[in-house]
Amino acid sequence: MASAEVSLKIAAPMLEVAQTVQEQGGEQLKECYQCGTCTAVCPWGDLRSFSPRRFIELARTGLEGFENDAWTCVTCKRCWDRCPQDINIPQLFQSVRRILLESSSNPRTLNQPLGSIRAVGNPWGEPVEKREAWARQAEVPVYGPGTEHLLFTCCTNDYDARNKRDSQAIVEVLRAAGASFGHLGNDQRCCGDLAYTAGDTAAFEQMREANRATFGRVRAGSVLLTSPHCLHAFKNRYDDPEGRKRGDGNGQGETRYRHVVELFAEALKAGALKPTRKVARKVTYHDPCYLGRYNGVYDAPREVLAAVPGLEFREMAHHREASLCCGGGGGGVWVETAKGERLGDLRIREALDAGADTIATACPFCVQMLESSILSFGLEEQLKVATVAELLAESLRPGEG
Amino acid sequence: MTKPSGHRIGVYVCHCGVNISSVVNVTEVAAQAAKEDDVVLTKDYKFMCSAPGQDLIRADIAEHKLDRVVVAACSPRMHDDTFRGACAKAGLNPYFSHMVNIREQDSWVTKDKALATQKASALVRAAVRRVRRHEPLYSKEVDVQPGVLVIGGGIAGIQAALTIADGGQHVWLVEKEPTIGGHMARFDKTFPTLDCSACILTPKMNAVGSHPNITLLTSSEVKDVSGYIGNFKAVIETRARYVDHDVCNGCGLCMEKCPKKVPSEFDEGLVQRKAIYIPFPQAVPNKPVIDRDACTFFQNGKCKACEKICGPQAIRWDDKPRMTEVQVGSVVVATGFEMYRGPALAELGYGKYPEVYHALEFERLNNASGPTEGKIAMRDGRTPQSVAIVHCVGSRDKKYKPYCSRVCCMYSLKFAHLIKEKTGAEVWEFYIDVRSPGKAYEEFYDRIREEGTHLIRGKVGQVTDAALTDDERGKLIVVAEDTLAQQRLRVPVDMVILSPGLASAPKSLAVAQLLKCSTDKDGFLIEKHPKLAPIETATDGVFLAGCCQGPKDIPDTVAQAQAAASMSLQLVGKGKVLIEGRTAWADSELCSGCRICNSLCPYGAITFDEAKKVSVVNEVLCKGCGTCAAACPSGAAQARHFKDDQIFTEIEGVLAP
Repeated sequence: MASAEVSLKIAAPMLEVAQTVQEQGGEQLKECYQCGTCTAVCPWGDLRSFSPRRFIELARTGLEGFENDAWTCVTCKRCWDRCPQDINIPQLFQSVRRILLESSSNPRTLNQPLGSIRAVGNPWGEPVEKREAWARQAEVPVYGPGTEHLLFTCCTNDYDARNKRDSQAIVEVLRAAGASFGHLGNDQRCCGDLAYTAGDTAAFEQMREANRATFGRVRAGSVLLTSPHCLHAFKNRYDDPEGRKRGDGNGQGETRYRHVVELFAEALKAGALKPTRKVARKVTYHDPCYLGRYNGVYDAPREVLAAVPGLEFREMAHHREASLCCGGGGGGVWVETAKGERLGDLRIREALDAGADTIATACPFCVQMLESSILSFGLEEQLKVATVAELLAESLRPGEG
Repeated sequence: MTKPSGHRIGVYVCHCGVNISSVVNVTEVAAQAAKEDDVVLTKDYKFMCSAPGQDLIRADIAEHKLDRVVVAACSPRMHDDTFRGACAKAGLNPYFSHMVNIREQDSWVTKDKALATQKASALVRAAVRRVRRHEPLYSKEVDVQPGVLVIGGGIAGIQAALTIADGGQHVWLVEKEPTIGGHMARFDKTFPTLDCSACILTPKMNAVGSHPNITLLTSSEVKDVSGYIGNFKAVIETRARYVDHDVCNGCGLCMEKCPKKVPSEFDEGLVQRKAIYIPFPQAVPNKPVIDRDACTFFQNGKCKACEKICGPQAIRWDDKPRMTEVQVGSVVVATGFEMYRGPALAELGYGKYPEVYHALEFERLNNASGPTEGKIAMRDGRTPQSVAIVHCVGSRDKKYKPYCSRVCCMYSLKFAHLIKEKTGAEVWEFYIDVRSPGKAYEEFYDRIREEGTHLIRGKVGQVTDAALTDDERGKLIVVAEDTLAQQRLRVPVDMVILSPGLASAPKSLAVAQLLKCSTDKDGFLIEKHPKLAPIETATDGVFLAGCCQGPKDIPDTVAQAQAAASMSLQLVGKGKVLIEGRTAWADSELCSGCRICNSLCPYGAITFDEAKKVSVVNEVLCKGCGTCAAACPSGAAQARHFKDDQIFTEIEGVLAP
């Protein structure tokens, strides 16, 4: 008997896949009513065809294709802020990444930083012993009983040449303010935020355990962070990794976690810092996602910039809660994106449109991503990246400027 | 163990279908109950509340000479009256029946069968001990005062007032604005019939204004309500109008001459009105009032142009607020809604871009008596060639209002139709779901699609003027994902209309507190039961009509208003009301006259007898809440049916091994 061989394409939901994602912290998949607001506000929108809504639909029905866009999200939180169902959408990406990481279906470029975190407690592949080198040279005091603030520097601030200039500036400002501060040098480990958002929960837990032990040992009352990612990790993620409490924690009980710009603003208000040297620049401020949207700090950096004499401030079109991500979060620093298609590219265009010659920011990743975009377009003469600390430090030095 | 008391108690354990029996072992509970002293029979049955179930109780009372009945079933809120009624029919005082809740407080809150059965047995044991100490209680009959107070003069209040007045009862209709009409007076056309709103409303407004059975009090608010069902007393304050409406002939010259202009609330600030004004031309009453805060004379002693021109000399600079006291049998709350005006509007450019409007502004633009005489025009007078309508602004959103307001999809579709009809512009409508449940609503939705409105399924995330292409320059760009085509869109338009939902009116909360009614987490007044009693409230004699109870369209509002009217008329028709016997009393022998209870009573039911120097409870006002009994230091105040010995024995029953 002849039979008809028809090649059918049957798409049936694979609920086991959907179930697995939900078990990995993605239960909120079920709450989405597919309105599309996330896709409408996602900063990738005008650069590439990327729909967080579609990703959610595929993931929760277990349909093929959800893995395609899993690594695009930079966890900037613009979607979560606007989602009518208050869904932690970055977490949904992280849940899928956990699963994909297990089968090594991740961008190759992420292997190095994740492996490095597990091996040497930082994503840069640098040895532990070299961490405190810049601090020793700058004679940063070591934190001990009686020191008021623990200055916990980000790995990027400790190891990267460009970011070490920011570290120096931070120390300069703290000294000028007469603050009592100290660091823990080689005892510091990566906060693990990158590991978490990239889906490597084991590396995250490893770092969390190490840092919690250190914090438990020193029992610091005040911890100052140089990176908003570290701030978010210690203050919120360590106790609530999946962001169920919407990050209003203050971490480990009596300890107070703040970004250095918050202390700077406080010191300026109290009159402990007197910036006198003119910094004649046209400056715009880029709100880092993890400082602004994740932790509500918008005013402090602006107050600092307003106190710098000679500085002409202007806002970009997307600022404060609407700030456009630099593209560095969620592993973005290590994921390759073509020139002209990067989030940072959009951002520097906005800075130029605002008439700025300097983009100020307060995050080591933002510094990296923005400078990378500037370099790729050859705009180093027209636009510079400076941290808030660097601009403040300059204005505290003697002379007219 | 307790001593047998000679009572004859019957214990009934209900299965409630499988609601109780699927978790609680009902036969076991009955068997355990049988071991208690004085329990002469125990039964379990599938549906105790049904006719056969109640017949069972009645038959057993007669046959076994039961003098106490315990029914272990659902919440007393459901069926206390049912079983009391069954006992009463069998000749037993209704308060010799007691219900035990083994459903909402037991089988519905656990899956652990052993624990559930254990709890049910403990509760039944407690009930058996308690019911021995029950005393007979009797209801009082009180007369119902004629007359109804209707609070709020929008379409709900207007309809309720007309139905009650036509039913032969007198109505006091209180409205806080200088005119009745509410939100409906501001709309242009109504969906789905596209009736002119004012055309269908104003005849009713006029009927109210001229009805012999309606006393209309505008510029007024209810300041106090006391009493109880059938006998409410309300104090109404009428604000100073500064114009004597009895003398004024409505000629309007004062409004012409008045030099002072302020933004018109009725027109959403799109045009101005005078300090002496009538809110809109068809207002009822059609006489002006003076806005004291705007009036030049009140602010700095100058002008008086209105007084100079007024023929009948109706201006009264020394006008004072007037208080009116009324006595009524029932109250209808019809305080309406307020359009959502929160941060979700600004998120989409409202207040930042001149061509972003919200729904009420657009209604006024569309209205023939509005700022542009019905012409749909941009601020510079141009006719828009493209318009975007955005659904769900601040609605279905956990950060703003989590609920759906029912009417916005329909009024948004209506806007699309009117824009197309008047301007022929391209209309883009952005939605999450289209909700068109009413009569002829789906047909209306069909019509809008047939007319060529572009319906895009995707919530708008941004409205911006930052153009990225030449086509976008000079326009507002609406950004949304077309979730069906799976493409993120940037649609350049001339005008954007935001469709917000309905929120509870701020004054509703104050009125609710006066009437001791509750409001839900969204500020809407709570009905007695969401399915079976959507008109009554927990306060007997207070009824709800319209959007103060929850967002709804005009047909549902009118229906609810007529229902509230019917419940009011029902009360008056019966002429009498039964007041329950579970009230408090103060034993004058024990009362020391400390008066702690006087101020604690939430119902103002306790007074002090100066002659005898003791506190006295008015049993008709008393709701039996027990606050006085709890506070009384000498044990003089006691709550019938909740006396100390009854409660203590119940506790002993729960704790017994």
